[in-house]
Amino acid sequence: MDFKKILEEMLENVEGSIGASLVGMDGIVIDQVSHNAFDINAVGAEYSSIIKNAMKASSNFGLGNTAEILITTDKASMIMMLVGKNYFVALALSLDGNLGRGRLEIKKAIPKFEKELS
Amino acid sequence: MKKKLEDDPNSLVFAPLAEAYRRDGSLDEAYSVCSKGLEKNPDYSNGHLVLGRIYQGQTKLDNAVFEFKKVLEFDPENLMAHSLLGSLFMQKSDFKAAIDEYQAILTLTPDDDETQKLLKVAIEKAANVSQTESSIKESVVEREPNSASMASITMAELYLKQGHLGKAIETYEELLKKEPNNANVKQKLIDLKKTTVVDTPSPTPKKVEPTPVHNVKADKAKTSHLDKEKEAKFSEDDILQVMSMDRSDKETKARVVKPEVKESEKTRVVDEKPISSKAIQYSSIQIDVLKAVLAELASIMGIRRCFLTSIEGISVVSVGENSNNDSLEKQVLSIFKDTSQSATKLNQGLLKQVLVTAETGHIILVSFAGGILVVLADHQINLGMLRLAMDGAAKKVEKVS
Repeated sequence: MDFKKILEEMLENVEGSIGASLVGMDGIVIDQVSHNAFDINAVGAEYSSIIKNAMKASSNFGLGNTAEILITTDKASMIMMLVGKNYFVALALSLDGNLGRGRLEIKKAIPKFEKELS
Repeated sequence: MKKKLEDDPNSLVFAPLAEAYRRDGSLDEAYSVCSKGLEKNPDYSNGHLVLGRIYQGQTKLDNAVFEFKKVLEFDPENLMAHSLLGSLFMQKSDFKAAIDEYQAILTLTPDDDETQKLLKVAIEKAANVSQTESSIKESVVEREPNSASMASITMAELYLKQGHLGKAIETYEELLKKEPNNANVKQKLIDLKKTTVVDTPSPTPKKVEPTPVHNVKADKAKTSHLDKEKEAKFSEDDILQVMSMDRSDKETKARVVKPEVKESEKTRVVDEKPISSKAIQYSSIQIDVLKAVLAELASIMGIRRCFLTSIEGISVVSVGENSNNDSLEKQVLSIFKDTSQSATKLNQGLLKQVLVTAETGHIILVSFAGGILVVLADHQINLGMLRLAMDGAAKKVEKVS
């Protein structure tokens, strides 16, 4: 199973999903799928530094390792979860997207990504 | 419905059928259908609601209260159950319980005028009872404000705490019409109106003024009191304390300052950080409302700390576990700022919220009252309920921003 297939499965299973990507912590996208013109590549580059800062903040507040980040704007939501130490998966959803389902599908996908990456 | 219930005795149609009998005045028939239906569907909250109304019709008030409370066990936000309980408690002259129910409704629907009126009546009646009780208990003869004015002041203070500045002003104005010589009310009204004027945006750039000087003792007093608010709703003590504000300053201060913070509670204190000159956009009344709202939020089980900072990273209000680590605050603020910039670059619109979930807790950053609200919460907190509480807090603050 390749990365694209896992990402496509995620998108198929989540109502209101716009795009999904697997990104390295350096901001470089490993693979991505998108339903429309949504620039999921740019998301990886933009948000990777935020994930690093969130990881530092979690650790400094004594909350342990960061597992997930949810960003909500007035146009969309973005769920990002870590895959091992060096990657994260991002799923973009429209405002009426199913966030709960999105989180669940990412959690289901993470072991598959980890297997592929090992 | 009857035919459907005969075909399927487990059907939930028993509830509307029983309700139809009840409306028709056939209370015995209604009770028979409803109780049988609930035997088969004991967790059906609507069934308990109908049974409660049947009991109410039979003037079995205690049974009705039991059923309505049962509804709230299954569905804590059931407005009908809160409303029916409120009217039942009024019937039973349990005004403080009625206040709790009406406040629960207003937490869910803050603009419900009808419930606001009912709450006012309940507070007036509770004030009457309280005054009667205290006049029996107290042997010292003391001239007290009459119960009507005490109730109005209580109502105004509660409005203020909920962020309804306009309504607080209206209530004081009404009272002042009745008692034009009441200096205390006059002063409160002047202070409130001053605040409203300060809050109005000026067309010309504001001259930077020195930080408002706070009465530390008074702030500490308020702080200690706020820290005592362990429930989202106003407690009985809270209402009585607000009522006591109409008494002499000396008595009020003694009452508010008196509680000492226990050793175990020392970590949950309102931060006394001075407000910098950048924060002068928040008036002292706004700060009070923000402290109250954040204290209410921090009282939710699982919240460790919440603090509001200005966009510039200057602390405005902080409640919960003490932390003097400014660099941590700046760190989380930079997350919000960076994310906000990224969202703009990605054409994702305005940033509303960032939620960071770690192994043992969450960091939630939200745009709030012209600044950024940061909430640190334990891992097991119910995020859905927290979101509701934060929305409620934002609505309260919105009115004073």
